[in-house]
Amino acid sequence: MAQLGRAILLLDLGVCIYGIFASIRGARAGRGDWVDSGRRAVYALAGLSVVAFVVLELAFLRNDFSFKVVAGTSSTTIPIFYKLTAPWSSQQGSLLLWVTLSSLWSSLALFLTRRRLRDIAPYAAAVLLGIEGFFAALACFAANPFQTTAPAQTPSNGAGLDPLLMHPSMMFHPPMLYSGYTLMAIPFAFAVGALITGKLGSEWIRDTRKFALAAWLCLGFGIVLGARWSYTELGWGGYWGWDAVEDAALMPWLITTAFIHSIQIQEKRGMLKVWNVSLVLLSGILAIFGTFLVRSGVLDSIHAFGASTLGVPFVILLGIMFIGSVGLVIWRRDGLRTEHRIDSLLSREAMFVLQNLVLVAMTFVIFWITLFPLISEAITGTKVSVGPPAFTPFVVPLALILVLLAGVGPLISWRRATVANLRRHFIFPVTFGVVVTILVLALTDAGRKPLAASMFGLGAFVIGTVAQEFFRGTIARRAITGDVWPIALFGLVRRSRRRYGGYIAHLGLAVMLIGVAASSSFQHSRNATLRPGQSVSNDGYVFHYVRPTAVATPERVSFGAIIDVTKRGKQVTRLHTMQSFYPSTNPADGFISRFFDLANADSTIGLDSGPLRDIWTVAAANLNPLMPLIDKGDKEFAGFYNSALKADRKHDPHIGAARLNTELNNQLDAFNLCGTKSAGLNFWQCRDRAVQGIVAQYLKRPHAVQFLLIVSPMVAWLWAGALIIVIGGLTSLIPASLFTRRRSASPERARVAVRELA
Amino acid sequence: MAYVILLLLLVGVVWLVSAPLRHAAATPSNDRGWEPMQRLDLEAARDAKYREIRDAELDHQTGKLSEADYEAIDSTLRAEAIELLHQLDAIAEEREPGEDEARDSG
Amino acid sequence: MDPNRKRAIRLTVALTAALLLASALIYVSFSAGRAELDAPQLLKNATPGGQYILAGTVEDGSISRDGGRTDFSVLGPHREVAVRVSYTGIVPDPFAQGRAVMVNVTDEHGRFVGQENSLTTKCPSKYQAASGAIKNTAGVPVGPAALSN
Repeated sequence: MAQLGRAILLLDLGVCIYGIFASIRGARAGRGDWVDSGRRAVYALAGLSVVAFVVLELAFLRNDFSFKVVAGTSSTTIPIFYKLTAPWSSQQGSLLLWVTLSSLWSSLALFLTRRRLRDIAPYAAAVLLGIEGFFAALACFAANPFQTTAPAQTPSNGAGLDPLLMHPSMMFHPPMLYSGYTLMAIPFAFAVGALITGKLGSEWIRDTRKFALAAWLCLGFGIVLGARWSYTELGWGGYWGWDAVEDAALMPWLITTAFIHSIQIQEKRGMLKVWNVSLVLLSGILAIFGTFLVRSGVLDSIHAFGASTLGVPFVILLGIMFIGSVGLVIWRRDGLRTEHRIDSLLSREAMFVLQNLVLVAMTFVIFWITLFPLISEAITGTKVSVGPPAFTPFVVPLALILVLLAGVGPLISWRRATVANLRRHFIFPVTFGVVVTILVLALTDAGRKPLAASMFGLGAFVIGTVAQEFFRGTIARRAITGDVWPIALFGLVRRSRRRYGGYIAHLGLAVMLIGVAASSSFQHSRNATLRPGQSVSNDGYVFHYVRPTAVATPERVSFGAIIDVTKRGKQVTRLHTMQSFYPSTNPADGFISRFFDLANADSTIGLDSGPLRDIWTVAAANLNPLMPLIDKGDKEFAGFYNSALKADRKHDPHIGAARLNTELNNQLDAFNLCGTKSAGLNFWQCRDRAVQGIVAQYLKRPHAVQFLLIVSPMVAWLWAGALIIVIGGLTSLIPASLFTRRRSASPERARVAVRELA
Repeated sequence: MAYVILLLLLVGVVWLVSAPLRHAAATPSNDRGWEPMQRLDLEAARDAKYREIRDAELDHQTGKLSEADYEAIDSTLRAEAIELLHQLDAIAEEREPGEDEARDSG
Repeated sequence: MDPNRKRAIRLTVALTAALLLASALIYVSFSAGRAELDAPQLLKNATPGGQYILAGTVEDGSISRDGGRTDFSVLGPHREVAVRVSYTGIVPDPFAQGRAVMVNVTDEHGRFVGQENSLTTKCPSKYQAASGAIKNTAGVPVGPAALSN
């Protein structure tokens, strides 16, 4: 089967090369049949990649350890759900996932445009096939997921998947993130095609905007999923660490945010063509750059794939993409010129441009700080890292300006707004923002963090803006249609999905950033070492360590703690946090100690989420008191095992593993390992008893445990805000055909004509 | 077993990818069922213009545009829309009847 | 005002802002940065009071925990020299011997003290299986890897 996989990868490569050739030939010669053939090559690539991926998944499901990736990341003991996600925890498997997702999304995009964008689509197909061919070539020659070991070297069990990755989010985070990255390649490809053909018209705008919005949604969702995983799974209590790979995903997202706004200016006024096409090209390049950062190990980060050989090919691809993009824009710059100018600074166009500049500035800051180790190494020879605290002085003020603009933008009309008019529209939102700020300053101690307090005020301003827009819009609609409120509201959104979808997304942004400001500036975090019965207080809450817990299941051994949280004497919540140890499959580990392997552990967070605050706790199990028992167990069981082996070898010097196993299964309480209770137990059952006995000891002699206790305000607003943004984005994407009846041209024409005559 | 699957895949890919070429050889014609790019472009521009007209109307109804501003902007937009409609008409007249049938080329 | 002059003013303002931002960025980067060093570089270049980022692999058998403190040794890239670090704070779940780590350290006269909560360990999904990983196990039954119920 591995051969099949390898062959399919080669076939993938061939299909890519053919498709590029066919598409370009068709485009240049005006031959539709070649263009269609090139497009079908993308479909074929998608189909083949899916088959290859299925082959890989089957290998995991069947525990086929002759596959090197299966041996490296899976084992017989991990649940089926995680066997299915293990493929993309390795470099090789994730490359195949990249090709598969990219070809699937490309197929969809090319299918949807199969009868449109006739001149552009073939070049777009060629670009997409080029990128996919690059990844297929990497999978083929540099990091092949179908590499096998010879039967003699095939291990009987794999290394297993790290327990940290056995979390549902692990199932969705990488595919969602990869979908985001690969979707970014589509507008990039169509932009290249548009530049080559010189056709950056309305059609190109309409389709590119939709692709970019879909990519923006997927990537944003993937980023939030990663943040959520970090918060609920990892033991540090945070959701964003400014790690290189987090930044790598954020940068293309910021640029795409800029694009989906400024493209509206091009739509309405025909301006900013060069700027817009540059944004699209840049986001595509940054998406590939992000993929490169994660894999090449060129930056030390929590996530990097470690030093690998993939750095150089990526740099070459990025170089081609960058130089090609710059060249194309320069070549076509005459066709992109426009006579229009921004009339007034008091216009929505100007606000969009300002927002774009802020977003680009933010991206540049993140880029610089993230890559600074490389930049400094190039200049001074030493890798200098600036670290997360450096981001704050730049990102926070820029984020504040962004939120301000998100509120101001909707209130200003296109082209030119009058000051008197503005006054009327700003009164309510500004008042609301000011009132909220005053309340926050008066009722809480938020004043000691002025930047965070400003975020509350500005966030409230945006919420006020959005509320006012919905309110006024609904009233206006009611005046015409006479509908009741809910129907008028629905009709309003339905008729102007892009606008109101955007407003909903702005609302989500405000909610989210309020949550970020609150949870990062006003978090109370404390380390405490407690014995059962002891308490400690943190931010007005009292944390009382009730008792330890210890559980042994076939999957893992868990040591935990029950914590009661009270406030002013009243019970708030009961938290259960634990550290779980998964059995190691390394035969070099001891018979008992393999079940207490710190290297194979993960924490389960004790979390109580509320609308206004989160209470978060994690405890590190203290295994030191158990170590003497564990060591003793290792020695005794190893001793028994070796004696049994020696005894058996006296009869048969070449006794095989299976035979020895049978012997151990059958020999009953021969060495009194478990004392008088061991009657009728074989070697393995005795071992199990020993492990369970040691686990029980944890409860009998509870020792001091180190806790990390965090009270974090308004974290839930982060997730809620993200969800609202997604709803807004989806609303904006809903196609007209779903709702509106097909307008025939005549009534609209008549209406327009009547107006003309009047 | 693996070879059989591979062979099937190979045949499938070749069949899928060559279909348009074979089809074209069988029925030569200049029309591949595409919508002419120019017409689609104008239709997209027209739809965008309609949206602008609706947006301006909404801005006026919610008070962001004064009466005077709205009148000015509205007539400009409608004039631009009419221009686009005229261009679309010109294309429709040029085209022969029957070319509207968009054949599914997959 | 003449539109061209307006545009010129706007351009000047924008460029000035960009220049200020860039200067601030460069200043912060070079002044607040810490050198990222591996073990041999640290031993060679460290000066008392200096703050650095140490990156490397945790030496087998070097981890010792005492209450809230964790001491461990970080190996150089060729495993020829190790630096002992005394660290307090959160220890990430993936932290173990043989894993790649990064930690902020201060040189306190030859002793390297890890800054609280600055220890990061490379995500296990990208971590290449340790040297000496699964050898051929034929002939050495591991037995049921999981506990029976």
